[in-house]
Parts: sequence; structure tokens; C-alpha cells
Amino acid sequence: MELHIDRLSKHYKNKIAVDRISLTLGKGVHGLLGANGAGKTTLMRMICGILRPDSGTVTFGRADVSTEEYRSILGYLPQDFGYYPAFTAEDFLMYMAALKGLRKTDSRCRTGELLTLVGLESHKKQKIKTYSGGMKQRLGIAQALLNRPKLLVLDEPTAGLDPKERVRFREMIDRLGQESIVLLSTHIVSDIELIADRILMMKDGRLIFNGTHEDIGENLKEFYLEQFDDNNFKPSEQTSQNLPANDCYILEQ
Amino acid sequence: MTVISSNNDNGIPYYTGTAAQLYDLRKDYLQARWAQESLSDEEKAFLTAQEEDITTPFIYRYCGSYKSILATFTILSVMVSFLTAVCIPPVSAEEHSRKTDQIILCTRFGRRPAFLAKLFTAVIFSVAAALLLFISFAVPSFVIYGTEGFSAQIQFHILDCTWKLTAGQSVLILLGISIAAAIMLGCASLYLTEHFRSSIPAMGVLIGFLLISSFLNIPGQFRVLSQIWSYCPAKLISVAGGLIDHRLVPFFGTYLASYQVGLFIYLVLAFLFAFGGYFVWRRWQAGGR
Repeated sequence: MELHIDRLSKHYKNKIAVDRISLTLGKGVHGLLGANGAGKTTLMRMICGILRPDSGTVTFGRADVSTEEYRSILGYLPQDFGYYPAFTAEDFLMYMAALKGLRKTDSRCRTGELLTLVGLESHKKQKIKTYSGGMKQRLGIAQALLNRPKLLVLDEPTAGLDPKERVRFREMIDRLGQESIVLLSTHIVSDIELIADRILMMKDGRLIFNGTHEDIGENLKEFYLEQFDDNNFKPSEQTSQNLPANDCYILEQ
Repeated sequence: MTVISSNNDNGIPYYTGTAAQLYDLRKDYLQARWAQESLSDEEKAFLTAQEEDITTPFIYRYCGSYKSILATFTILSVMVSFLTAVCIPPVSAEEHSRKTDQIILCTRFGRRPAFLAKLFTAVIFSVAAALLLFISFAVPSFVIYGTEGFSAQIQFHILDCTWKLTAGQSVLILLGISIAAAIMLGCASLYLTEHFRSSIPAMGVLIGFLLISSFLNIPGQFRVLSQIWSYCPAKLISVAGGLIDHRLVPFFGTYLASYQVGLFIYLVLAFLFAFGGYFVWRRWQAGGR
């Protein structure tokens, strides 16, 4: 089953946030790159059905984005992940599992599995308000995976994760991509470089590139910067010294 | 007939005289009151027919507890309104204040089932609040004054009531209206919270309406406006509003009393608020935060 996005558009008063994007995504990991304000989050929200497009459709197989059937196969981690501070991680996942339609016995099993997967097993009885940013992000990833989604949409999932957690996250996404459609957006090019089967680039609401590493044929970081030629910006030596060596960040003028 | 100048609780002067004189005095009082309330001739004829159904002479039966409970319904209505306004919006708005709405609304049960759960919680809370408050008034009354008097004729204690009711039935009628009002207020709280996506404006609207409806009176010469305003919970859920408001509503060849119309209005409004709240919840859009 594939995700079909057909001429999806969203515009606000002074800006076209998403401009007639058409895509078909199959199983695998699809990395969505773009600068701030490119329209990535808007596109992802429309794919998740929490933002109504001005035109266009989103379907998974025969299920439209507005149907319960579509939502039953969807897992979403938003950019600004919200939680209930007084809940424990276990309570939160059980609550989300109920909303996703899992039976109670399945919920308990799945909650335990996911807490172990994201490394929160030893903190499951602690309230979320005591968690660090990285722990909250891991909890967010866990809730997105509760219903074994066929379509997983992750908006900046590695924000707040330390390098070790990011490696662990990449391995997990790589495994998930073998059975599901994973769409993840990030500013961190190396995350996409290492795990994405397909790369999508957005600029000013439009899809400017849709292809594989082979189509790029060169280093992804350099290719990305070339696509934004009119915003070409070479970081100063002083700035470079502060960035991790293996990562390329999108720096705006 | 000798008239003593002091008045009882209903403002009717005491008198001594024959039974016929008593009932004539009551009849004259009612006629004067109906004229003052600008009732139509058809309404007066309907009420006169209701009067003829009332058993006379009035038979005294002790009903101290029911009289006491009837007097507390005004407080009950205010407290239910206040509790609903203060307790339901903060809980209902939590999805928006904690930003979990995005992940909830894209789950399988995140739309209709989740909203129905919120609605159920709001209604159950407000009905339970009304019942608990009623019990907290009723139990001490029964303990202190005794439980007898359910079938006592209401006219002996509320002289200008033109309905053939007993004291116990009157209590049950006002309790029924209170529960219907509680359901409506629960649904209204939920709708306002979803509309504003925040608890503070919803609480402000509800408390503001409670205060205004408690203190503002529309003069009787503006009959329609005054009658509509009299259906506010703070006004209807009382002896004066529910049982001795003689202004009627025509209904397919007959007339309905205020307590009958009020019940119907509250249930219809409850349905409208519930539907409106679901419509707003379902169409929530991410962004703008």
C-alpha cells in the first residue's frame, strides 16, 4: 500500500505554505529536508489530517486522510510534542494506546516493549514533568509507534537527542522502514544521509527534489546547499568550530 | 371579614372569615395577578380550568421538610452553575493547553469517541453535582423535619400556585428541571471550552451569565423578553420561577407551564451545545501556536 498525495496546497494570507505537491510514497524511509519556513511541518500536518488543505487529496490505499481507517494506521510525532506532566510514561502510553484502539492486554505488552526500545523502562513510573528533553522526545517516539503504524510521520524526531540516542534512533527507523512508510523531516542532513531510501527537498512550499542517493550522485550536504544557491552561505571558521564535524546544518542568511 | 395587616411569606394578608370568603379572596388575588402579568384571555381561561381541578377545601398536611427543600432550590441552581463553570473547562481544555490535541486528533478514536468521552464526563459531573447538592439539602431537612408530607397539597404552602400538585411532586419537578439544567450547563461548558480552546474565556462567559441572570430582571411589561429571561436556570429553578410563573407557552392547541417549557428548552439547548462542541472539536486545525 502506498501513500498518495495529489496536488496538495495550503496557503495563508501572505504566503503559500505548500504549493501543489504531488507524491507517491511506498515502503521505506523518506527524508524531508528544507529550511525553516519551507513548508515541511505544514505538509506533515496535512498528511496527518490535522490541517485541512485548500486543495488536493491525501490517501493511503483507498482510505482518505479524514477516515478512521487512515488514522488507525498512522503514527505521528509532531514538532512540538505535548504531554501531560502529571502522567507517568506508562500512564501516558496506556492512554494513547486506548485512543489508538489497542486492547488493554495488548496495550500493556506494547507499552512495555516500547519503553524498553526507547530506553525509558527504568523511568516508567516517574512523572513526565521530571524528564529531560531527550527523554520526552523518546517518549514521543514511543507513542507514535504504539499501533505498529504502516505510515509513520516524524517531524524533527532527533531534536533534543544526544549522539548516542540519535544512533539508536536511526537504527530503529531503519528497521521500521522495511515494513512501513516512514516520513521524517529534519534539519540534520546526516540523519537523512545514513537512513533515508528517498530524499525529498522542499523550498518555499514546493518540492524541488524527489530522488535517491544515486540520483544525487554526490555528497548530500553539498547537493543540498547547491539547491539553495541563492541562499548560499559559507559558515565562518568561528561558527564551524562550534558545530559537530559530521553534521551539516541549514544556516539561513 | 376582618383583615389583619401583617402579611405571610407570600405577601397575602391574613384574614379571618368563612371558607368561601377565603377562596374568593384567593380567586380575586389570582385574577389581579394574571392581569398584571399581561396574560391573554385564553391563558386566563386555561388557568381557570386548572384551578377547577384543584381540590377544595385545601386539606392541611404537615410537610415541613418539603417546604424547606423547595426554598433551597435557588441556591442549588447557583451552585450547580458555578461548579460546572469552574470545574469542567479546565479539564476539557487540557488537550489544547498541553498541546496533546495534535497527537490525539490523529488517533483512531481521537475524534468522535474522544469527544463523546469528554461529553459524557461533563454531563455526568454536572448531574452528579446537582444530585449531591440536592441530597445535601434534602437529607438534613428530612432528618430535622421528618419525611411526611409528600402528598400535601401545595396550595396550602404556596397559595398562588394554580397547578394540581403536591409538595413532593413540586420537589421532584424542580429536581428534574435542575438535572436538565445541569446537563445543559455541562454541554455548554464543553462547547465554550472547545470554541475558545481555553478554559478562562469559557469560565468567564459562564460565570458572567450566572451573575447577570441572578441580578438582572426584565420588567414584566416586556412580556416576551421577560418570559424568555425567566427560563435562565438561576430564575427558573425556584418556587417563584418554576411553580408560580403563570405565563404560559401555546403548544398545539393547549398551553405549557414554565416548568414544562424550561425542561424542553434545556434539553434542546444541551443537544445543540453538544453537537456544536463536536463540530468544533472535529474541525480543529493545527497551527497558529
